[in-house]
Amino acid sequence: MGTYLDDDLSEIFTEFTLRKTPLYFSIILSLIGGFLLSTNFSLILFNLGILIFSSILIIMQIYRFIENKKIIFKQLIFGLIILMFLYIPLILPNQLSIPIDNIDAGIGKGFLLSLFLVLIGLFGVYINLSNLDKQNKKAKQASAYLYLSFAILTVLFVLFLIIGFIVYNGAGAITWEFITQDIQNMGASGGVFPAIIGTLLLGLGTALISVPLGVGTAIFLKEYAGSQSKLVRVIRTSINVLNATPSIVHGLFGLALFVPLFGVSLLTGSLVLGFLTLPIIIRSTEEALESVPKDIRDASFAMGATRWQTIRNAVLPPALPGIVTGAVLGLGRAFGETAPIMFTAVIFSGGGIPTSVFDSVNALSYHLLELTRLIGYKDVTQKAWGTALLLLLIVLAMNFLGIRIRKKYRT
Amino acid sequence: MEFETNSKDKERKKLEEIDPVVEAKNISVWYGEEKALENIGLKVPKNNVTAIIGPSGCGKSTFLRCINRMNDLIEGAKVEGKIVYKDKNLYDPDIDVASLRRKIGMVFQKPNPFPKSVYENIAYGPKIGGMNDKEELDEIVEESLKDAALWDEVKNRLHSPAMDLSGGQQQRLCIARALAVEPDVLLMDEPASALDPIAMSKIEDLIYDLKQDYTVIIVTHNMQQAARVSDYTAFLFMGKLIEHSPTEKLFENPDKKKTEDYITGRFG
Repeated sequence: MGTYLDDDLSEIFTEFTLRKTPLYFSIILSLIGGFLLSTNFSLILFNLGILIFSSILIIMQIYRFIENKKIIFKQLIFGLIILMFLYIPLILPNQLSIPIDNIDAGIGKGFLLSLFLVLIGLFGVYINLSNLDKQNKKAKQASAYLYLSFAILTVLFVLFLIIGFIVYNGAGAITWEFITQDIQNMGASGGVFPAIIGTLLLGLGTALISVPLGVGTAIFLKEYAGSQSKLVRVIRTSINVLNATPSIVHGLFGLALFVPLFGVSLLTGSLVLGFLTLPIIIRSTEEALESVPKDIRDASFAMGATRWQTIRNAVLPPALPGIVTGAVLGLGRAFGETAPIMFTAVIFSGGGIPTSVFDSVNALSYHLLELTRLIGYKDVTQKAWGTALLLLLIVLAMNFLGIRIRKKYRT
Repeated sequence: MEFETNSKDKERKKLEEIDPVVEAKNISVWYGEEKALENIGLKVPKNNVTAIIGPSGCGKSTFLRCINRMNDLIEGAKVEGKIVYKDKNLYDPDIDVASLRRKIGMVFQKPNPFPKSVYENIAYGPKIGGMNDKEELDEIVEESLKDAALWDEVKNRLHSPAMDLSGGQQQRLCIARALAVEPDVLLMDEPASALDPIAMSKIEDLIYDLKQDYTVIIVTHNMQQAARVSDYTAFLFMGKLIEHSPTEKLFENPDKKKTEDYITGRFG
């Protein structure tokens, strides 16, 4: 059965890949063209030429496959619209990229243009195939497949572009001194050691606050409260609201409520980040509890276990990997946040290593923000990229850890 | 249709003469607005196997879950009437449900071992009962597995995951787990319906042996199975108890027309 489906799909896919090859070409070439645009303006002609050429090819292809020849007019009009839209990126202002002195300002524009062309290509594929839909049932399947593969390709493209960009620019800045030394001269020299420690401490504080509260709330919601009760609905709505609250609002809330009590400190920042990650932890814990079959609970109850014994001995052990994974991913989010801590926990430069929870700290995310503000006044560009890369590595490491834990317990 | 009943113990007391270990009196159950059981009265004789048969949705499992109050766990379920066990109504407010369930154990339709080792599965009940003595636990595990006819198959893999056992072994493990807390009564909700014929016959043999020490109530939609393993059979239809008699009488010479129709396959 499975192989039959696979064969079927691959057959359709091959058939349509062959038919749509010109379209793929046009998109890929537009992409390359868009990139090259940043350095060589004349390439635009090449780019357009390819697009027109491939459009003609597509129209010819479709002409062969479609019995109803009237559709071809729609295709022609659509092709013209694509060409018209192509000129939009050309009139975009030149200064779309971040104004960092040693980066080619054109890259931002080239990137935007490429993205734009991919989107148009996507739309084109969709329109082409949805016209074919009326002729061919298999085309429906193939159009969905094509759409999905384009979506994922676009996402991967952007992701690798971002990561590649940061690694390319930041790798040079990361040295042993950068990791182990104090922040000096407002970040322009020295390292980011206090910021690394501060970020890790904030993560730890966040975990200490949000994990016990979040896991407890989730257990209450899933295991104790009836799913239909009003209380549960109110709590669940509140959690959703908490989740939808912009992180800067969390920051201002912390400033108004906790800063008067604990000052700008590690404790205040941990509290704010704790509340920020709470919904993530609650939700992932609920999902982990949900994944434990009802049979297991029944078995435990039937053995004469109380509700708490059942949760403690039968439900939590198999749910634990899911809970830990959720917590780790939630913390990954907390590491990257800037807005919630900028008024509540951090200072820029000269904070050093905190000696108590009432001390303020440095943090990589905030350090990065301040460094980018200093660009143009001080020579900090490379340090900024280095900080960004370091932060990215920490967050990626957290995510990787989460995946490892999940894998380890699954087997 | 011919039913092969276990002829070894043909001489059975009439139900009126027995001293029941569990007796249901006027049990009615609602799920929300829907009435699932109506005025069930049933005497369960000690050290016997009582089978409950009936078409799907007739309330067999619902009735079974009343006896150890597993229905308490279903949102919107409401039970009226009495279940008398050891001169006490199990629905009295002062009943400790957890310790009741240790006396009236349950085995479910689908094998549901915990995702733990074989050993930990059996030790689960005694442990939550507060037993921590390693030697005593070892003994209980061995005894329970022997009682469930599983010991020889798993004695060398007590600490490997229970999920690695076959379906039939898992179900016998669940029976052993239920036996580990030394219940009086064992409730079985279609315990062999998810198993292959060989595993099923092993479970049936086991049920036959278990009645030496336990009282077994088994729900089944397999009439041959009911005829093979049980001493008494109750026929439920649309939430009502139609007939309850010694098994061979119910299958060979039923009192009610409806029972006859059901066991001869005219409906259901």
